[in-house]
Amino acid sequence: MSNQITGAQSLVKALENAGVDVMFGIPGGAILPAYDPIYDSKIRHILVRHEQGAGHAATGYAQATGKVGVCIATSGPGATNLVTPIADAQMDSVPIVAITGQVPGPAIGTDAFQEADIRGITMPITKHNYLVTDPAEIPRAIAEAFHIASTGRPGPVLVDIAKDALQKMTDFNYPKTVQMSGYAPKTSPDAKAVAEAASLIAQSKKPVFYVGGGVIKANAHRELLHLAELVGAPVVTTLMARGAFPDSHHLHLGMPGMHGTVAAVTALQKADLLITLGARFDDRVTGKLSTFAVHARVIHADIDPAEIGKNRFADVPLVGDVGETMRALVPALKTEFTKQKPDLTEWWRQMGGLRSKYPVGYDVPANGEVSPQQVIQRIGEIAGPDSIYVAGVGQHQMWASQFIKYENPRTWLNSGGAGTMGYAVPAAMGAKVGAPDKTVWAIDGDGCFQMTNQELVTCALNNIPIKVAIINNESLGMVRQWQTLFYNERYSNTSLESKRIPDFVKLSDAMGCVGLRCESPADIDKTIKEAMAINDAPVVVDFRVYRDAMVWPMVAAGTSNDDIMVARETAPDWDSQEL
Amino acid sequence: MALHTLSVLVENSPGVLARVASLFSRRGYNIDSLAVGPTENPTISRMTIVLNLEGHALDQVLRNSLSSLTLLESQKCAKKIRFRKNSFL
Repeated sequence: MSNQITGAQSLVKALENAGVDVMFGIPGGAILPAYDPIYDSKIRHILVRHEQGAGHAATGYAQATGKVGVCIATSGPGATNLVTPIADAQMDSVPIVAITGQVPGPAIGTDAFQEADIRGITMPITKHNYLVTDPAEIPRAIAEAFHIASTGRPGPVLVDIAKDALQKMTDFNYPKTVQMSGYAPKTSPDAKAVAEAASLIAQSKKPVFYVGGGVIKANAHRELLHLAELVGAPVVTTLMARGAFPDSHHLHLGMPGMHGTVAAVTALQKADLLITLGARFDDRVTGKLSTFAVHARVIHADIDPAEIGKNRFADVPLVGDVGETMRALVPALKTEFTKQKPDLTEWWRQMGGLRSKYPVGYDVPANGEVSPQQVIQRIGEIAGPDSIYVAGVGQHQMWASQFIKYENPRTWLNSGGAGTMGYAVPAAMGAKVGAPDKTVWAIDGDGCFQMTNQELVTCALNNIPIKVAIINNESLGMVRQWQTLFYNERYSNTSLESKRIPDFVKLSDAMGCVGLRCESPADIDKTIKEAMAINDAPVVVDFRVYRDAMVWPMVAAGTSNDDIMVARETAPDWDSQEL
Repeated sequence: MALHTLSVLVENSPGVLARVASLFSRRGYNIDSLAVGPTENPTISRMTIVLNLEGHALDQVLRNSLSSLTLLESQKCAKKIRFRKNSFL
C-alpha cells in the first residue's frame, strides 16, 4: 500500500507522462485536490482570469506548436465557461484536452453545489469525452484523451473527474500503448483511389488545389509544395489554411470564399477538377452549394470519412493522412505524366489574368481617417512572415487574412469554423507561451477585445509579451457592414462607442500593459515600430480607424459564388475575361 | 423516404445511447424505434434502430458513425450491406 498515491497525484503524473509542459486554468472546489500536486509539478500552470481564456489559450498553444493544448477548470460554472472554446476547437479540429473537476461521485445527479453535467453538455462539441469516478481509471483516461485528441482528425477531448476520485488512494499505472477497440483512424489512402486520382489529374484541363486547414494539421506543407509544383495547377488556401502554401508563390491565387479573391473564387467555380486536400466544403467557401463548381469533378482527401460526401459528392475519395496521400500521389502522377500531362497554358492565362486584374485592395478614406486595411497590411510588412498573427472574428479578421502575407504554416491563427469573438487575446497568449521566441500580434476588433481582454492581466503577470492591435471602428463592424448592405443602413445595436468609452490606453495601462494610440495615417508606421520595440511587457495599440470601411470582395450569404462583388454594387468585368 | 433498419454494436457503458441518438438528432432525423441489450460479451451491446429517411442521409449518418468512438460496428440490415468500422471506403 505504501506505493499508493492519490487520484490527484495520479492525474498530474499522467499529465507529465503525456508530455504536458504547460496548462492554463483556474482552481475551484471540485478540482482543488488536483491543484495540490500541481504546486509541486514541473508542469507550468498559468493562472488565467476566466476559463474561456484558458480554453482559447490551449487552442492558441496547439495551433502554434502542433502539440496538444491543455486547460483545466473546476466543476459547474468553471466547466461551462470552457464550453465555447471547446466548441471552437471542435469546429477547427484543434487538439486540446480539457480537464474538469466534478462533484464527488455520490453527489453526481443530485443538483449539488457547482454541479453541471459537463460530459452531457460537451458530448456534441468534443471528439470524445470521459466521466471518471474511479481513481484507478485516471491514467488510462488521460492517455486515451491525448491519443484521441492528437491522432486522426484532431479535436478536443474532455476528461471530467469526480472530486472523490481525486482524493482516494490508487496505484499509478500509465498505459504504455493505447488500445481502443472502436478507434483506429485510417492513415493510408486506398492505392486504387490514389491511381484514379492521378489519372483524373492527368486528364484535367482546369485543375485547382483546394487546400484546407488539414494540410497544416498534418504538417504537410512541404508535400503540398512538391505536389503543386509537380502538377503546376493553381492553389487556393482557405481561411484555415493560410500559410499552408506561400503567398509569394506563383501558383497561389489566394483565399477562396465569401471574402476571397476574385481569382481564387472563380478558379473553383470554373474548374474541371478540384483536388481537395484537408478541406470540408464549408458554406463560407462554396456559397450556394447547388451552384458551386458545377463543372468540376472532385478528388477529396481527408482523414475523416464523415467529410466525404457530406456537402459535395466526391468522385474520388482519399481517406487518410493528407501528407501520406500527397506522398503517394507524386509517384502515381509521375507515371501518368509520362503518358499525358495537362496543358494548363490557357487555364493559367485566364486565372493569371484575373489575379492581376483583381488583387485585393482598398481605398484610403477620403476624410483623412486611418484605413484599417492599411494598419493591418503595415503590421504584416513590419513584423514580417516569421511572426504569428492571431485574429478575432469580423472585418479585421478578414482583412488580416487578405492583407498580411503568409509564408509559413502555424503563423495564422483564427477562429474559422465557430467564429468566436474574443478568441484573439487568449489565443495569442497561448501561442506566445508555445513559441516564446516569436513575435505574436493579436489583430483584434474593439468588440472582440472587450469580450476577453482580462487575459492581458495574465500576460502581464506571467511575462507573456504579446502585442495587440485593436482595429477600433467603434462598431461591431462586420454586422454593421451587413446592416449597410442588407438592412437599409439601419444600424440596430452595432455602435459600441469605443472611441469614447472605454479608454483602451488607460485600460491597458491598468492591466500592466503598455498602451499606445494611433489616430492619424502618418503615425501608423511609427506606432507599429514603437510596439515592436517593447518586448518586456504586453503592448496594446488603439488604432482609431475609419468606421465605414468594408470587406471586399464579397459573396453575399446564400448566393452563388458567380455573383461575387468586388465593391459595393460592382461585379467583376466578366465580359473582358473570355472565361 | 423509406424505413431502414440498422444493427449497431456499441460499448456497454453509460452515455453510449445518448451518443448514438445524437448522431441522428443533430441532423434532425427521427428514430422510429430502438431496442438495445447486451450481447454474449457483457462489455458490448447491440442496438437495433429503425429510421424513416432518405438512403443517402442514412449513408451520411453511417459515415459519421465511423468517426464515433463508441460504435464498434454498424450494419444496414435491409440491404444486407455491412459497414465494418475503419474498413469503409
